[in-house]
Amino acid sequence: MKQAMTPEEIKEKKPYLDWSLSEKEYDYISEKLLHRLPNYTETGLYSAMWSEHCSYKKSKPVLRLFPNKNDRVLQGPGEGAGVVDIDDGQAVVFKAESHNHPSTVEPYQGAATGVGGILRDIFSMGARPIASLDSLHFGELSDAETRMKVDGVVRGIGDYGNCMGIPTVAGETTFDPCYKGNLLVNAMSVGLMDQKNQQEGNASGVGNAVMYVGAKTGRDGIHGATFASADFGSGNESQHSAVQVGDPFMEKLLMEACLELIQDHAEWLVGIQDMGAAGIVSSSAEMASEGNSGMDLDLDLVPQREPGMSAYEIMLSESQERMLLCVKKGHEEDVKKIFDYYDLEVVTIGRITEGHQYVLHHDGQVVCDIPVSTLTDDVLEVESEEKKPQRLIDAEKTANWVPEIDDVAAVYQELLTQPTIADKSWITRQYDSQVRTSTVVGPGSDAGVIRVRGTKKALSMTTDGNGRLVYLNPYVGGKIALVEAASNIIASGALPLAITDCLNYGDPTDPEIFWELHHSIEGMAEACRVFDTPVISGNVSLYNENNGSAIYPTPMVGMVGLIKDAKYVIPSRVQHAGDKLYLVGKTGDDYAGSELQKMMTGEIAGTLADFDLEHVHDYLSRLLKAEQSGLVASDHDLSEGGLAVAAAETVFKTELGLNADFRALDKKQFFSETPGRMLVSVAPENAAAFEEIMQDDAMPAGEVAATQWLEIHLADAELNLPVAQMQKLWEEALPCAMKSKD
Amino acid sequence: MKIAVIQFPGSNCDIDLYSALHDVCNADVEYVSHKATSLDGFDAVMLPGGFSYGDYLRAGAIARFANVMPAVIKLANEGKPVFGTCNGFQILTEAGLLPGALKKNDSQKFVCETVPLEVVNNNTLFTTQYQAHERIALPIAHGEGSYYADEKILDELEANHQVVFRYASENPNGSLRNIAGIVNKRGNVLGMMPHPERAVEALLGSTDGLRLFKSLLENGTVKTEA
Repeated sequence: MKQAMTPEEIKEKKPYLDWSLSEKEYDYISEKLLHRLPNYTETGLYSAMWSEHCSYKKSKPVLRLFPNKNDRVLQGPGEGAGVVDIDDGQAVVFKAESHNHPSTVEPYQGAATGVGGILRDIFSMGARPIASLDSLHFGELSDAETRMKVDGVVRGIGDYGNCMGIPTVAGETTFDPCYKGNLLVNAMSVGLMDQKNQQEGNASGVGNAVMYVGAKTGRDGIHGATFASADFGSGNESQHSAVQVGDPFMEKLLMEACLELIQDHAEWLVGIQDMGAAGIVSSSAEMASEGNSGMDLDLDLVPQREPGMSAYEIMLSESQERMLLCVKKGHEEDVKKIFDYYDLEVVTIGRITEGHQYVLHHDGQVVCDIPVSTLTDDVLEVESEEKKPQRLIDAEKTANWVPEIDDVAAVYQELLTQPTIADKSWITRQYDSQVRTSTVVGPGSDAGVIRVRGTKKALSMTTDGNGRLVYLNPYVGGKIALVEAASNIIASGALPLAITDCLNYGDPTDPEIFWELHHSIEGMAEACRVFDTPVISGNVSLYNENNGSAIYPTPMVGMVGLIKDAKYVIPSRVQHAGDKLYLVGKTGDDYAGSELQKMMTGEIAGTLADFDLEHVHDYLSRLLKAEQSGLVASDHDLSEGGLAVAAAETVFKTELGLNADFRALDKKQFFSETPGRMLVSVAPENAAAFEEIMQDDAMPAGEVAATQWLEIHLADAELNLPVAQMQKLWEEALPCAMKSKD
Repeated sequence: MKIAVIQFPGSNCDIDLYSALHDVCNADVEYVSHKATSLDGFDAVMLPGGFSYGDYLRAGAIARFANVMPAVIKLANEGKPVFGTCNGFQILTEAGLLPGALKKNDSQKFVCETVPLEVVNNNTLFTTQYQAHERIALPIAHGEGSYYADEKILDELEANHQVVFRYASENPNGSLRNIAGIVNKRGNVLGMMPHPERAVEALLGSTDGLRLFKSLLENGTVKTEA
């Protein structure tokens, strides 16, 4: 087939600039790597593989700051997903991925294919997905377009996950104006496998087959990777073709077929990888690079949905529900039988060759002949300029806002109706959270908990990101993101194991934004070391901007924890009247970036106080020990809205109330968001043992009441509020906001 | 009593049914492929929830043409127990083993929650271990669960005591007469939108569904031995 432009025309007209390949990179490829001009197809492949999305060329220098090993880590970053030992020869496999740009342009398909992509990452490792989570950040619900996007994203996540039969068990949703033009959809998947089934994206062994399985290749999603690595201008509409379309039924079949192959016939398989961002080229080149092999593919054999596709289109298509396998020579027919049963495409499209060349044939011509490593390993790392944001320097000169609270009951009730705080059942009811009958704790708790069938174990999981705090202080905000996730995991009774992340930021060529990225990673990395929760997988999503205005820097932490005995799963809601209440952790005057600040002033401003990570880790570890000893009846983490919101949530949807003694706190501190705090209830007979373990780090705070009233004593106020009325406000806020017609 | 759990492409509650029967009830249960053409040797068959054939066209509309369906119908006609939950119920109506149809929820949204139900008829193969008019709570998880039939059929269902479960509080999907589950006239085919198989272990929050399987195992055994 004729190439769309000659190499000389490419050099002259520079179409690669539109594909996010710089002139410097183009020149480096022609002069230093190939010693000739790349043709049209090759230029397209480089621009995709050298995009930030595939190569992490800009973020790599700072990603190295993360710890990614400990005794339990079996696979760190670099494969489809990270793998952690959970004893008994089993492993938990997890990863999160952002789908921000596609979801902004086409919320339903963007979110659906985000779920689909992360599930493939999990089962390509040999694990069966057992749970999904999400982290969603939208603009304000007063905006009709945002409401439409919320509806689309939630339906997209639900339709895909529900059809796949993977329960969506936890997540978070926040609302802030900065996400209006560039919403965030981060999807996380958790899988379970026997360690012996662990796979890798490897293609090696001369003569072995490269097999294409799954759905046909169409023209959707071409240049999705580079699209994800560029800023939104006006006119997103024209980028619709870069969004993929999902088919969860196809993916369900693909998952069953791949797991059957891996679990029953691993000996036929050399490697397997999802065709994710940058489709066939990224999966095949990465597998060949991993195996230090050459590869020869015939694109005419690729199953195609429409006629007349060019080599460039075939290679860069991001059609969904496809996998690439490297199969031992002689077993092609065996593999074909498995995929035939599921009525999936299964075709040998090429072979592993001697040497290290990546050769593509199309229409009787060689359309690409380049060293494999030039696609994957020779990417020029970009050294980024960084500069402390001016707003942080200015903020340090200004005194922090201190709330003045007159009618504490009125503030309390209004706070419960803020969309970020309000009940999220309107969203979570649309997700099947129970399929696979292993969900011990579903949505609406600190963490989702899934039991591991056939063992006593359970896995706890959460997603947490708070862009406001990272915006005010990237370093401290980064630490808080990790502490918040760890608190949620510990609140459920689990030992934090490891994390995955999605790093959502603005344009990294802006030195202030790169500084945010760098410093928030430093904060997260430090907390990861203290909690011994290495980063085992994740992704980076940069250029989250709309018309030059960036989102808050929003690193999302997805954490998984292990509960040795599911008998000791700790609920977030109080259990028995008469149980003693404790507030774990000290409360300070932390209102910068709080929900209260946003509600009362309409803005996020101020500076964050740093805190002692070692100390927080120390008392949370002791709290976990108390939980594992059966001393704790309930435990709810304090986050947005502080103690006030936690106190309400811990009695909502129960038949109980609180008689809470918070007299150590004043009215405003009731709403403070000091990190690392928990509201715990303990049966009276366990109180002494609990206090012995927690010492000064748990403050006695009254007890659980038999009547449904929130009776709360503060230093300078008394509250006595009916739970039912508070719960109604909290429950109705989100559906009500979604229904508004303006 | 040997029970078949049918696996259609896109079934996803097959493991849940299987585990409820095998792990919790110690029943003799086997997965059977949609490609099978015979259910000889089985005493009962269960159609799981999920999205058979992606729910394309209409939930259950394609599954009714699966290879295994004539064998399911044959077994039903022999008077052996046939049970379908969620997508299984949808398939049973599409296959004509149960009257009526399941439409999109009134809300037009998928809904997953635990809902209160009334056991309307405790005198079926599947419900003898419940009390008459007992209130239980079972999970639902569906997008197309609004039961519809014309007035004549609805009246017949009521007159013949074919309504087995009714939504006892808010109607979650718009089902006519709050119908959550029905049996055929002969009483051996039960279809219901709620998921009893999700409520068989205290660890997961409820055991209200357990007695449905225990009823069947008890009654099915009596029947086969008799």
